[in-house]
Amino acid sequence: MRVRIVVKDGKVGFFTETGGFVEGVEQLIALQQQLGLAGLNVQMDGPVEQHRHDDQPAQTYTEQGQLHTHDGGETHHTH
Amino acid sequence: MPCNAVATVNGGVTDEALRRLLEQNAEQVQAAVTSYLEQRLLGSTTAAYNTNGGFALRVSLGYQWFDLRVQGGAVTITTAPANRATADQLTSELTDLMTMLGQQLFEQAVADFITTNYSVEQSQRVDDQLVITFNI
Repeated sequence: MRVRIVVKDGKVGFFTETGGFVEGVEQLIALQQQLGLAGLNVQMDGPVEQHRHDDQPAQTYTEQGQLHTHDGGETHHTH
Repeated sequence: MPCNAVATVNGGVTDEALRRLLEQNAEQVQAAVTSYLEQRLLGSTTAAYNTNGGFALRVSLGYQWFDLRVQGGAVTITTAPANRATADQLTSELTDLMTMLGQQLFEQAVADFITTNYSVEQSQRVDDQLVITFNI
């Protein structure tokens, strides 16, 4: 799975660029944990989201592992 | 750069991680602080002693003096009462410098971690951002 990480001023953006959303969520959470084990602890601003533009619906996973779909809006992430 | 992201999340380095990075790189921090003070004050600094993960400096500026202790991202300045305003200003400036240094150390540490543990396709700086693409 291809992953992109963007770092600036102590802020970090994590992106998966291949594979499915569910797998991407798992990989990004695992990556955060690996960074933490190396002493590079990162506090996430929120749950991993499905990247989208304009009015595409967003999907997120709850802590219970349930997939939620949200209507409208636009997520703003550093590309 | 085309956007082909699937899953995404934003975050930020924790204060604890920044403090740890600064302590682990105390020599580098000391060099940066010393250089900054000498340019800022046009004075001279003398390394007084090193502590565990930190250091202390005495800055002399004519008749003024400032004793600085830097531990992690925290800066403590002791001086004569007449120099208090300058000391407060220096504390603010050095705290900002600590934050900037910590963020630079974090960026380098993340780059090292990714390079060591994953197969990197591309690592570049775009719009003052470090962008690394790699395979998990």
